Amino acid sequence: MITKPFEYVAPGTLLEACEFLNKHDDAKVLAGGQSLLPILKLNMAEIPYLVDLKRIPNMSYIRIGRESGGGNKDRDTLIVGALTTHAEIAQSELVKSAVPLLAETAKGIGHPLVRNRGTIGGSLAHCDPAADFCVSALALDASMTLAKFDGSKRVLPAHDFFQGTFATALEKGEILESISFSIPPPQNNTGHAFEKLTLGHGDFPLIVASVLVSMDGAKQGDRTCTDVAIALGGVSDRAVRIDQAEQVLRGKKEKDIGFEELDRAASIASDESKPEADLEVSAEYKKRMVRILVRRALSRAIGMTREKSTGGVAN
Amino acid sequence: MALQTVKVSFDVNGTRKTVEVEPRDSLLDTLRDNLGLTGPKKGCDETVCGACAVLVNGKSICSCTMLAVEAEGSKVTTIEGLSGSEDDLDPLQKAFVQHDALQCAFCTSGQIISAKSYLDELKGNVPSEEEIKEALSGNLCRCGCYNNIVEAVAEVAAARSKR
Repeated sequence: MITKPFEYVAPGTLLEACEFLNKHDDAKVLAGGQSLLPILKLNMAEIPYLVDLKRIPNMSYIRIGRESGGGNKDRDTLIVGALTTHAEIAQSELVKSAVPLLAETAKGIGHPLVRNRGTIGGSLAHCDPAADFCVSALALDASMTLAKFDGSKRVLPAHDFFQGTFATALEKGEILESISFSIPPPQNNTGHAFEKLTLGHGDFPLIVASVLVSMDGAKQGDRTCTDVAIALGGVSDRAVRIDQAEQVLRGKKEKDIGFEELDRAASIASDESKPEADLEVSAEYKKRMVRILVRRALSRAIGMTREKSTGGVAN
Repeated sequence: MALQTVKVSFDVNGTRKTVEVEPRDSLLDTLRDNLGLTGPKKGCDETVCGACAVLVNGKSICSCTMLAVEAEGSKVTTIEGLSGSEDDLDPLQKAFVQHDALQCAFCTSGQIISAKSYLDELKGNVPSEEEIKEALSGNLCRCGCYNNIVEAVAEVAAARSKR
């Protein structure tokens, strides 16, 4: 289908772009265009102005930053520029070592032709409730840095940034500039897993489960699950964390975490899910798949912590 | 509303081109209709089939899901830009012929562009069959030549690693 006409602007600075957005309520931001352009081509949205961010320098980078945690509690963070592509994130050695869940998430988005063009900022700001990056950003407690037309900036945690289907906390004249992820200390045994249900390879996910597990203690079997994050996509109007499912495992001794506990957490996640049926898949099927995907993800993540603690030998 | 037109300049297969486009024109339509480069095909026109793949600054992308105006200042390579002439084909093109990696050939230019982008990323490492399949997973072939396509790409990857 032929897209309806619009005016195109490509500001040279982030501030100019924010100013333009502040003056034009109905303008839309273009990053990699892998969600927006198909929407425009289907004439599902009509927009008078398209503001392309790609002429703005220094919007695409991956680097280590330092975040003040008060007192001596400064910690390293991984900072990713909003226009960094999925492929760049998936292939970055820095991301793979510092925040491997992010790299694994990026690696599986769509197919290579999409990953070479789509950007993390575009995906998060588009805010599809089943978008891979939205779910993992929530699991990782990512922070969003938003730039405003008056030159100010503010930082929002992921769970405040996502407000609903295609709805974020971005206000008039604001643009998502970068995303930061806290880096787990190297001595921590953390494991992660990313699982999703798609109709076919490369299709947009129907259900997404993104999981992080931290195990403390040196001795095999005597370790404690100090932290766990279970984030789901496609089960609500936005990506969600399932606190009650996390509580099943948090603080538990490793020897007390068997199939039953994992399945209990996964069942709670399934019960809490309120997916909608679509043309191909019923809501009931999606709920059942949540249970399977969460159980599988938890099992993989915990297995990964064991591999790390035993020097790469899988149990 | 008067339609806005924009002059866009970019490098196409080694030559600087300037075209006047509407902002809504896709790079694919501009390549085919304004520049006469019909190697990239219009299949699904919605980022599913990969027939429209071209290299933008060395990376394969769907030219149907990129506006021509976004190409300003970029280096665009279509299948036409991979070889000098019919007697001087790219190794991937030769391998596709030798392995019968096509029947109707509608998807072929996209397959080769995706393979080119991937092999350049590999920098001489030899990929597994699974990795080649993943790398080409955005390119559909309705004739079902997948096995031969993977063989062709594997052969070129192996040859590159020996260079």
